[in-house]
Amino acid sequence: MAKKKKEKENKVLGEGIELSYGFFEQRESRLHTLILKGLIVYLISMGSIGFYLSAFDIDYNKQLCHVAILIMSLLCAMLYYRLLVENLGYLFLLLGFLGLVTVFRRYINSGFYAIVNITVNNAAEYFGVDIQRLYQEQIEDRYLTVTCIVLFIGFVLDVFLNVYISRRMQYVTVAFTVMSLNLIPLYLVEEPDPLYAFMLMSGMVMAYVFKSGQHYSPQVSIKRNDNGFVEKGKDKGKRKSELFYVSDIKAMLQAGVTGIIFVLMVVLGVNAVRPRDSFNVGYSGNKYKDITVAAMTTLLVDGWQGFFGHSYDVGGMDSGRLGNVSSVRLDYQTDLIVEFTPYSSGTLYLKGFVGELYNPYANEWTNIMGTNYQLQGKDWSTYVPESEDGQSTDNLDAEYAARNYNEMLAYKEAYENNQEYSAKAAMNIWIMDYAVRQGCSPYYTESSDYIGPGGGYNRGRRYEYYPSFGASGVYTQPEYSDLDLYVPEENIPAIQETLAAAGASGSDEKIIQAVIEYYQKNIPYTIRPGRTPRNADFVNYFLTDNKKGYCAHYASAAVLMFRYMGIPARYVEGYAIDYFQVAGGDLVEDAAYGDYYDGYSELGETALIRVNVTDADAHAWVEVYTPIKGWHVVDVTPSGEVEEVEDFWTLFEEYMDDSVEEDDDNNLNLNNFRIPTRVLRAIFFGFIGLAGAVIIFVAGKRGVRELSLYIKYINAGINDKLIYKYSKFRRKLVKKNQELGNLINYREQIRYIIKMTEKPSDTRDALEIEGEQVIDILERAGFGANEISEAEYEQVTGFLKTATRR
Amino acid sequence: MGGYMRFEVLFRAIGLIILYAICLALYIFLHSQFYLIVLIIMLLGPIFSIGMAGHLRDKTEVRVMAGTVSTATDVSLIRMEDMYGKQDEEVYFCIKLDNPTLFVSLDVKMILEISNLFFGVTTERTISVPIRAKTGYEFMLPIVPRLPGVIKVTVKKIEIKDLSGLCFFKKNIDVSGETTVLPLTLKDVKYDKNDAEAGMLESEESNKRGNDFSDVQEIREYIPGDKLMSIHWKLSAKRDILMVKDRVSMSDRQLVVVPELCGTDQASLNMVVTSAYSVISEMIEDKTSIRLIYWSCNRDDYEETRIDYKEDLQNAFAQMFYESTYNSPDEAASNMASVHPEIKAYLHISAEGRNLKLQVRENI
Repeated sequence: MAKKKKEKENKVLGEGIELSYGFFEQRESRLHTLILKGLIVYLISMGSIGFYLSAFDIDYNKQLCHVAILIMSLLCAMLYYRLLVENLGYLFLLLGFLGLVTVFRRYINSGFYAIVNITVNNAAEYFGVDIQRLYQEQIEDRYLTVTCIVLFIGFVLDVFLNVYISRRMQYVTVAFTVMSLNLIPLYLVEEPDPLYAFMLMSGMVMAYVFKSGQHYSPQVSIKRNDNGFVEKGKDKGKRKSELFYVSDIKAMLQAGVTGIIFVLMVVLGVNAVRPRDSFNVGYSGNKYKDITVAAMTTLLVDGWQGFFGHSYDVGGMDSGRLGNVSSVRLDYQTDLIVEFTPYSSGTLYLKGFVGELYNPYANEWTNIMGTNYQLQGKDWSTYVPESEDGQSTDNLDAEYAARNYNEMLAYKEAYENNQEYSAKAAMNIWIMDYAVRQGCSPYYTESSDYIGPGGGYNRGRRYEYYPSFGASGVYTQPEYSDLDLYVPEENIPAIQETLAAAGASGSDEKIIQAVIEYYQKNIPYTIRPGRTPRNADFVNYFLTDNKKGYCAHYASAAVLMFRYMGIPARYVEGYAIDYFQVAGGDLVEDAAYGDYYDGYSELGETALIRVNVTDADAHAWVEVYTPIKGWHVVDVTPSGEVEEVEDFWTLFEEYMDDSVEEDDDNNLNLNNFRIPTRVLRAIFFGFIGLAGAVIIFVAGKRGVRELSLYIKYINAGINDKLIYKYSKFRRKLVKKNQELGNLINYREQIRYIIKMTEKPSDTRDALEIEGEQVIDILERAGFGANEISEAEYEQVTGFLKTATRR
Repeated sequence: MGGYMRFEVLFRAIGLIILYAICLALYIFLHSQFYLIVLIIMLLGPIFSIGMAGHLRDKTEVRVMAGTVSTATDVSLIRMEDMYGKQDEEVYFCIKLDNPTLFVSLDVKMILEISNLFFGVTTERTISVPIRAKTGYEFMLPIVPRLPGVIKVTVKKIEIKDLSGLCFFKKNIDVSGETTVLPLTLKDVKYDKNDAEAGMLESEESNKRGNDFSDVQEIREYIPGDKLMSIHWKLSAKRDILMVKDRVSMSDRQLVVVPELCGTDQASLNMVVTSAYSVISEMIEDKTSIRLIYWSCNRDDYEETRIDYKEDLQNAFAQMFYESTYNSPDEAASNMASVHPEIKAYLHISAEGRNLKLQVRENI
């Protein structure tokens, strides 16, 4: 009631001259102003989206998007019609948004991936590099999915821009926001459709004009009423303040149209003189951009890590470290280039790291060759594989040779004796990724020669080896060490349990087959098994708890299981190249088949093929020793479809999902209708989040107001301080006594406060006398030109304390 | 060009220059047609806008109309009625900016001077309004006068801000409108009515010393041959044409009221004027003819008016409100005996401190 009266007060202009409150109540339709703001939001949001998509010629349902985003923009703008509408509107908007996004998430995801892929393809074309597709689109219909993502982005942009446009016309923030992404097509020399350049600039110009005009009915500083005029100025309430109109829709509309016409003329003019298609014809670029092109190429090809000298997670597997990997991220970059003549339809294994000793809880495989060269009764430290040009080899080659030396000799002997199914082959391997720290070689390599760097490749070697076709050989030293049978005690219970479950018994082959089948049936393959928990053992966790994993899990566990069953086994990391990949390789011209292959071939005479081996080919497997075959490859990893890089929603779902199976008791069971625990959890956390957001919003708003008042209070003069203090005091009392709130001047209020006090009559008399002085001080502080004294300030505050103390 | 910049727009200009520099750098870096468009808009936009505002300044006209009654809530439908306003009630000033051009401005600072001529009160205010294309803009300024007198609203100048917000174009206007606000009619003004009538109705017609004790019958336009002293200088100045007071000799007896227009204290002057108005109003309701005499600083002579009807009263006070007040609290009474010896007594209305003093004085 008091507030209403205050609003109705005339404005004193001078002695005896007042401006009627009716002046401020001249009404202006804010609805129209909001519609205009919504139009600006539409122009900018649709303009910026269309800007990007038209630059890359991405097709989508334009009519639908224009209409939907326009409607959405107008609805968003309408949220500022009333405070209540705003608060509730945003809530409903959020809920509606979440609902729609959940329903159409696959379309949105695919649309997003489609745009990213198109962008990357354009970038690849511009930079002249070969880039594998980053994302797998779940839905192929790009017209549909891009339309969905446009509507999604339009929705988000509308909400975002509406805050900046409708509230304060912050065109600079808006410009930086919408242009940040739109610089991508411009960088790739792709110009937008003139329509979207026009829309974007029209919206920006309108926002700028309204901001400069300062009469756009800002929703922050002005109460959401329909007043036509308000008072403005630092010295508000004094004589020099300015009376200004809040907004005038006709003038705004005319100014906006002026801006639009101007922008249209410029856009048409520029397009007439310098059309966008021929704008960059003959332009040879500039040195500044050239500098960035190199960096951008690195970024595009190698990612951010390309700027640094190392990359541990993208260069295949060659360290034997396990457990600290939550998911395998593939960059599909070329790790190796391999040249060889295909001779079999089987998988080609290139052996890298060999793990002999499993360290439980440290979750790693180590090989001891680096410190012990006395394996198999031979000093391998001085072993140098034969090479044609006498180039020295390193100890790594010695390691490889040492571990399959006997087998290599057997195959060599078979070849030299022209036995059936024997051959000698050569293979060139170049290591392309600096992240691949350890070399790798084909099985049964006899020698290697250094051939790189050459042709721009690094660390190239030519390996000569004896391909195996499963033929039995005569092994001169069919041996293995105790290490190849060593199983840590910590792993024995889990291994026993798994072997029992797998029913592994009988011959070596049966045991191996039982384990492979057990894996296939019970332990699904995934590239995202999750990180092994701290203080947990990699193999135990895999076998007993997690029961899912990728090749390193299967191979590690299998090695220990085989060893436990008395089968010598080793863990190997390297690259596995399947036949289809080989078939898709490039033919190397001018290469003589005879230089690379001699002997039996399952495929007949082939040719030299060059294959790009990526980190997707990185693999781990098991080497098993059996008396018949010697050391040979056993791949225990079950065949599974290659998982796609999963999207946010899948991750979200997984996050909400329970990692451990829940009992039925944990579900709310209403007859036959069961609500999954995860849904209940989602609802519960959703409500908590919502409640938290509301509390933060309300408390934050109040806090900001209080802080603002406090800052003003600190910097205020003594008069204002007193008035502030008194107002605060009064507000407190009004909560208990509503009648006090209706009293509009200090005299009535102080007298009422005295009347309220429950004091003895003599004390009340004293209060009444002092009250008159307090009234005088308050009036002077509130309306007088001179400052009150400190003593008077203290007197009033003291009085207020006394008056309210019971 | 006539435009000038303020600190307010200086920051905007600096911001624009920074933005322009960024866009220029991006254009050089990207060699993009889009940024060429942006640069042209940023360069030509302000020029176009400033030119537009300059033209707007030249073509904009301002009108001020004053009145008392508004008959509609829509500004465009308001009809101003040219009659006197009343103290404590709204009087309206309709301010119109006529814009014949197709250009528009969102921010026109209008510097207004609002004054009460009689009380010598003047205040200045800035009102910000838009100018629409073709139609301009008009709005109502509802003033509530707490003192009687002539309320005058003058548009001193306008400052038109261009759409880019970089320039203000100033135009001196000095167009005004005014309206007269009559005092309140008080019902409880206390004075000795019988004494006043008994003493004052003894006044007789006299032409002593060439003083004109006649009453003004009507005011008409000057005709060659009229006496110079008959010219109504104040009205002539107001209407821009010579007006004369046509006088007739008083043949009946009248009650004389002499208010002191001492302006040292506004509240006291308000009391005097309001009381005089109320007393006279009451008397003419009783069919008593009144002779209002007050000291005119403008003419340095007494101004006198016969009042028989309410309209006479309103006109007389409307004319009186163009007078300047003086500082002596007894100025009008001090010369009465010498200038108007034929008057035996009169009702002298003055203020003593903050107290009203209504006294029947013998003219000696």
